[in-house]
Amino acid sequence: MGKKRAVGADEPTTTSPLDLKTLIREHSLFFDQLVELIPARFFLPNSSDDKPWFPGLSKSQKKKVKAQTRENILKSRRDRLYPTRPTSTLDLLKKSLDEERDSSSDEEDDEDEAIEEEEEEEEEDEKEAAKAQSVALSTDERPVTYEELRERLRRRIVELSAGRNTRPESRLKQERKKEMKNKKKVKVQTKRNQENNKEKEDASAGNTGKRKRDDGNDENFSKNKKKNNVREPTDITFGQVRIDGKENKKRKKKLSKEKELERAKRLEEVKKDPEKGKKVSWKAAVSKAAGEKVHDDPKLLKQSIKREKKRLEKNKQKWRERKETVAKAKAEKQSKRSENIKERIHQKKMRKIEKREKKLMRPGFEGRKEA
Amino acid sequence: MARWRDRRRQRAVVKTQVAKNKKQPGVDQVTGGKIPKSFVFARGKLPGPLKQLELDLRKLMLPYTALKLKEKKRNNLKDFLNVAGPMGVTHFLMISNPKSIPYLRVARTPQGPTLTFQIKEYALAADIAKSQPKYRCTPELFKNSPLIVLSGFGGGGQHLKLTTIMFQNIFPAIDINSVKLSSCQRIVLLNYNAEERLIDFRHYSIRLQPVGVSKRIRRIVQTHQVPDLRNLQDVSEFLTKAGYGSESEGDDEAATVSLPTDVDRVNKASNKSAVRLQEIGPRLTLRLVKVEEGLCSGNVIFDEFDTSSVYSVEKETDREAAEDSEKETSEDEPADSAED
Repeated sequence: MGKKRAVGADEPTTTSPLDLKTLIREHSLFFDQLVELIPARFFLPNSSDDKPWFPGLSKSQKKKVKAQTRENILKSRRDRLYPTRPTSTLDLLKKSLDEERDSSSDEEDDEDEAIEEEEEEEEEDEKEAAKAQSVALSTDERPVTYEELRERLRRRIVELSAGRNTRPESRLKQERKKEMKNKKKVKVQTKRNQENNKEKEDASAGNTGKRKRDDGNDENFSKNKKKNNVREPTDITFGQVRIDGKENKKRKKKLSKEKELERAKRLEEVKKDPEKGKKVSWKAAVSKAAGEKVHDDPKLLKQSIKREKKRLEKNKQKWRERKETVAKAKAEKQSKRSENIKERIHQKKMRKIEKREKKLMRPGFEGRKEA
Repeated sequence: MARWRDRRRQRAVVKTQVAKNKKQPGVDQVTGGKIPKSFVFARGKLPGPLKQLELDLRKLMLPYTALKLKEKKRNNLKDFLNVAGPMGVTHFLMISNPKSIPYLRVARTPQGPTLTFQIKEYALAADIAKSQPKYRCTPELFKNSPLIVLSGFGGGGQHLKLTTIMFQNIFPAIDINSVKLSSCQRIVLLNYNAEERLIDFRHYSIRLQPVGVSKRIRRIVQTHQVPDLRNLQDVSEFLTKAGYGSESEGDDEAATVSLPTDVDRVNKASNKSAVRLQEIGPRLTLRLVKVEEGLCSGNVIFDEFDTSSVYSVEKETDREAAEDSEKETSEDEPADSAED
């Protein structure tokens, strides 16, 4: 009681002994739980004889000790799975305390005994409760199965990502994008093409902006919906709008003119057929109205083929002429050059002859050697 | 000889208005697409009101049209075509009056389809101006091309689709990202009435007015004129005097929008503004009568009436009567021949 009173002396005097008891109980529970968290081999004072020391032993001794360790392992595994045998830290602590008490019961005080007995009682009383509680808090000594670990990890990740804030820059960007989309939503005439989009795709209109419009403006329907609520116009089409400027148009394969001519001839024949011809002519008319070039008329195609041929011919002719003139000029120059060279040589020779003959050409000379 | 004559003729055909300082761009700088240009002219002699209608239509198509196009009597379609090529004109709007029935033909220049509309009723811009107490039509309105809205055309039928595409391509496209809201000042509405198969054509000017601002304050901001506070005791009275708010405040719930950018001094970004349309320009009621494949030539791929003669104006019942009469005549003929 003395010790207890000493302990109680620190606490405020107004607490009744009942409060004190609960306080102490709570404290002891807490410490029990703490102790439970610590694996037994760390918490309890280890006896050195448990530690196997292999290096200095002989072969047979090593064998024995290894067998012993194996047995210890098996035993501890079995103990872990046994429901009644004490394996938690608390139990082992209690066991060690018992042993201590037995071994040194004379030395201790009665009070200490009493305390320890009480502690033991409390421990026994609260053990189940503590165990029940500590199961929630603590883990078993060995790491839990992978599944549970993964579960915990997943939960943690979800927690973190939920609490994470989206970066303000990305939010701004999103808002800006929405603003740009809504810009044309502003006035009554957001120009979009709802129904005609698909037809345009069929007619292969040149503006892929229209297609994008279809995708991008599905969200911007609020203005339209408002209108619908008010006056129920069923379909509204707007003029042309380009969302992403300068998209590359869908490139149709460009056939050569001859192929186009054949195609056009075939189309003409098809047009004579009432049903299919109608479809073909409508399609052509729609794409022409949309601004695309439809090579439909064989006459025009023939004309253009002819024109191109003529152009090629003309170019060929020009090239030939050019080559000719170049060659001629070259030849001329060459001939002139060779002429000049010959002339020069000739002149040289003449000059030499003259020089030679000058001496002999003086008036009144009679001794000229002539061949 | 012939060439000289042709050249003289060509020169006399067209005198278009070319702005003194700059040429009209052929390609839209923003969108990169070709800007569609148009000619509005008359084929044949037109009576006075129709001539006025032609001028109104020209004004409507500004700025990408020839406002002062002069056509002579001897000009053919071919002459117009020859000039249209180099100038980059893509659409022709032709008004004609055969047998005293006005027709409007919309055609796409190089080889394009021709839509022939019969003008059932029309009202000139001047009439509309007189009918309105406050008619507002400034030249700045016509500095930008109008927007276009078509309604009721989705009903089906290739001719309707063709009409939508045709009208959509008459006006240049708009780039959402870089368009200025203040440049969208006019709008053309086309409404298709399926029961009567008539197209209503209307032309409005757009005005934005901030909502929730009293008239007086708006006036001050817009016109920067000092108001008359003679009869008021206090400035607060000026601001809070109940007075008449805008008369048409009530029906504005449907037409208010919140602007993403500033339009002008009064209409600021992310404020609510009411969109007010005021009618300017001509009013037409059209009926699509014929669609031809070529430019006023080629196959007729759509015909409103069974007989392909344009001047037979028949209603549905009349058309059936015509069918019946045809049947009768065809029955009669073999009988006659049999008799013979």
